[in-house]
Amino acid sequence: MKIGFFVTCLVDTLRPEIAIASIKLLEDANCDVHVPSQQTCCAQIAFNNGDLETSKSIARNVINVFEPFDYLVAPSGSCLSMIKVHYPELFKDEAKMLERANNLSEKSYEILTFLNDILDIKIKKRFPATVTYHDSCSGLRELGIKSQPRKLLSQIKDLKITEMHEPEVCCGFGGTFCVKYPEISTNIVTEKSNDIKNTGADILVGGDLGCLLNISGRCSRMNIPIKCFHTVELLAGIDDCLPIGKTK
Amino acid sequence: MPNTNTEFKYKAREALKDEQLQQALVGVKQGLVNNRLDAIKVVPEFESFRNDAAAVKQHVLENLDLYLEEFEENAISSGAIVHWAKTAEDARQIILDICKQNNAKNIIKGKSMVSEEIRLNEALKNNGLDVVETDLGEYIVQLADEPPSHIIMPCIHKTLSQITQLFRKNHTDIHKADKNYSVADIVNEAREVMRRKFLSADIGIIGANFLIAETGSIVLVTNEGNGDLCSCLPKTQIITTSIEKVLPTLDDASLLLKVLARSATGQQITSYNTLLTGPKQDNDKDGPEEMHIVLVDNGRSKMLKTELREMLRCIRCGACLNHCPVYGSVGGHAYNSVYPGPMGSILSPAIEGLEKYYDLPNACTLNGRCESVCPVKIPLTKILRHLRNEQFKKRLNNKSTRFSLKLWSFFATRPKLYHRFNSLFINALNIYINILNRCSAIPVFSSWLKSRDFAPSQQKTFQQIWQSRKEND
Amino acid sequence: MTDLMYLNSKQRTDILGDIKLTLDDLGLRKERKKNNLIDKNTASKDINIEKFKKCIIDASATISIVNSPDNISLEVKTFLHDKNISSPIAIIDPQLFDEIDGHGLNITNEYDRNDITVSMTKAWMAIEETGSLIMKSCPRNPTSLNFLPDYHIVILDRNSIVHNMNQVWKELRESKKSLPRTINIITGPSRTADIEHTIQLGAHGPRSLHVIVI
Ligand code: SF4
Repeated sequence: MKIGFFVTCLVDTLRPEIAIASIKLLEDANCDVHVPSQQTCCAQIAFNNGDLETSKSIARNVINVFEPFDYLVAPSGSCLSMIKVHYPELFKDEAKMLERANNLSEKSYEILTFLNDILDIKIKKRFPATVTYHDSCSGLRELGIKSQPRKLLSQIKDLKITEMHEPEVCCGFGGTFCVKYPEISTNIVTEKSNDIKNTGADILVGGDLGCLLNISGRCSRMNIPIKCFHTVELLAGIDDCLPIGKTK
Repeated sequence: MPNTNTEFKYKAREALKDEQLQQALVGVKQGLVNNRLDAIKVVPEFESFRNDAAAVKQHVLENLDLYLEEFEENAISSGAIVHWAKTAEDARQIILDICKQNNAKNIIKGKSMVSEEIRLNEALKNNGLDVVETDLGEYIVQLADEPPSHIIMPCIHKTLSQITQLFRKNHTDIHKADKNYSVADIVNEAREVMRRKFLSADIGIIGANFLIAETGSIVLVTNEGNGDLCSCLPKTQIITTSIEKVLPTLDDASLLLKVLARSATGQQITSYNTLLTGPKQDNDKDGPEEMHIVLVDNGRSKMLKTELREMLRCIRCGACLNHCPVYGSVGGHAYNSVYPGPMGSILSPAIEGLEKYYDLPNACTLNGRCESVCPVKIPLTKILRHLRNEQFKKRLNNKSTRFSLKLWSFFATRPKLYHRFNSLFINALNIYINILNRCSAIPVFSSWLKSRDFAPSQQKTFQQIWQSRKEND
Repeated sequence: MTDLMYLNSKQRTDILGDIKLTLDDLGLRKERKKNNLIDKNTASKDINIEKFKKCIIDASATISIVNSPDNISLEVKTFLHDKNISSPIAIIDPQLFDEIDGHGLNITNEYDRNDITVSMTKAWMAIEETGSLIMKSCPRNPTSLNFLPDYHIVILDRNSIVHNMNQVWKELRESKKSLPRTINIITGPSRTADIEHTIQLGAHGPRSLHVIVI
């Protein structure tokens, strides 16, 4: 099957490893993965800031670029819900575009959902560690991603999953929210970091780079010794890459 | 018109530094959230109750005029007097006139968010009337001369010792200055003070949770019983309520009650649910001789025209506040509006203008936890985004936001340039961080770096890496 | 006054007219859909008194069950004794008054609203699902007696317990009389959690509620 991989802007610039790991997992499952160079981002920033015209022109581009593929797969719940849930909303008054947006919506998947629900991949790895999973908001509430990452992770041998007190509470990232209201965002991510610390886990995993940058950045500042990874990085084997937010 | 309103940001900052407030908010974030969970755990059908409740409220909105007319007709035939108020000002005038006609001096009030919305207390006070809030929480914030900070728990931001001080100052006749007051002592003292007020009041003003079209009755939901005393003791009763509160039948009220208490306080049902129909009847030993119902519009019929329509389903349970990380961080007062939290971030700009409340729709991470608990399934994040769109169209957001958005969309709509820019950007960023360690000089990063560390993981973008892989193949 | 009436009818027309226009213009009017599962299969089942009891207790009230009206006074005596109360019991309902009278209890049907410690009233119905008592106001049953006293004793006929609130409404509709001024649905004593989330009973209404089921 032909897959158009939607990199997402954050992964493209700040954490290419997530794309590399995703593509490895997809190719291991015999997918034919393409990364169209005509893609930019999903338009979330414009959409959440009320700029619908810009959102539409970006959405049109995404639809044009990814229509030819059997599936669109992206390593982020929030970008994917932009494409899957909000593109059809954007074009609700343009019949033709709406149909195309709906078609793309139907074949668009977040990576973990795709690996688990569509490909049903088997992970044959061993990784002795205790991890805790942060449910990023868009993925959880707009796409219903909850069990998939946990099922995939639990296939890794010797990996223990321990839950936070409140894994479903927002980390305070919220896209531009974290720079528009930095103090509030800091307060929220501080609580999240403490919740993570109290699990005693060595590793935090999640499905959205925005949240992971936010949490890893805060934990590092608070001297909480936790390593942050995107779930696919763990699934694909992380031996050779540094945790998110760490430099050599 | 450029927005200059920075009040929310300022108050939010102050709130974050207020240790007592932060302590109190833990009770919201954990206490109330857990109460709700415990209450719905034992009701497997809760989800379908939510669906039904949302459908009933939506149906009412779609036939609002008809149900209001039916309600009015039945209320009048039960002997009540129905008033219509287009604006807050109109509502205040109507109520002041009723007070005047009755030569009233002393007024007792049950909790009513509509009366807060129309700033009734201030108007009554300015006209020489003595008004006492009888809901304990409302009474406490009245003594402190503060607005409520939560729609169902008005004094959630106050600690016991702060409340004791307030009582000491105000109840000089009965307060024992040397005593260490417990919660029970405070409640008892308030009870004693309030009893005298109840029995000597001329008018009782209460709110209503629902209006029943079928019977012309109002439904009142409380735990303390103060609303019931307000409505059976004074000679005249005024009900301040708003037009969207009408429900078709009593059965619909049972359904809404099933979701209201569980979402609000986590009770299966509150202590008192009261159905009031008309004034006292022949030979009744108590009850008011006159029952006035003031139906307030104050922007609601206008909301019905817009994408904000679904917000009119709100039953004021407060669950969205309790589950909101922003409310949980800054509390209610930072919003500087009668209605705080997610529901307030929509209602306040809707009623009083997007300009005045610029920050409220923006101060939200769009995490959606509020709508996942809303008993009438209001799509809160969708409506908040809609408000942001309205603000954008009216050019209300500040220049630098608009400029950055423009700049970004210039690149985002030009793929080739976009990728070039990204590669340059990531290169430059690495140089800044690794060599100059100066990334706090870049605007976006400086507010990030105040509380968080940051490091990109590579010198290259993924698109660059992928390109070279394809060339090698 | 005429000004006010004029103003009122103008505002009424404005508001309703505005809503009508909106609903018609935007084509929003829709038929009502039936609710999914409101209290389907309960009506025929027997009342589970144990469940009712549990709900009453969960709501911080107390309950006792007696076999005949003759046993009420004894039950009340024990209750008052336990609470160490000697004040007279305010009872207005003449039938209830007669039933209690002459059993050595201190009762009165004339009381001062400023000073009323115990009251005793009759419930019209009750709801099994939530342990709620339904009190209907009438000359024999003034609402204030449910709220003014510190201790409230309620007499309930076992046969008047129904499963859910909708059955109460059904009964109301079928009784064909006009609605009473007040229907109180009472579940436990008065309470508040306004201060530091601490639940405190007896905010304004009764501090304690005792139900006697016959
Ligand atoms: S918006 Fe929903 S959750 Fe919030 S107060 Fe209204 S009904 Fe409750």
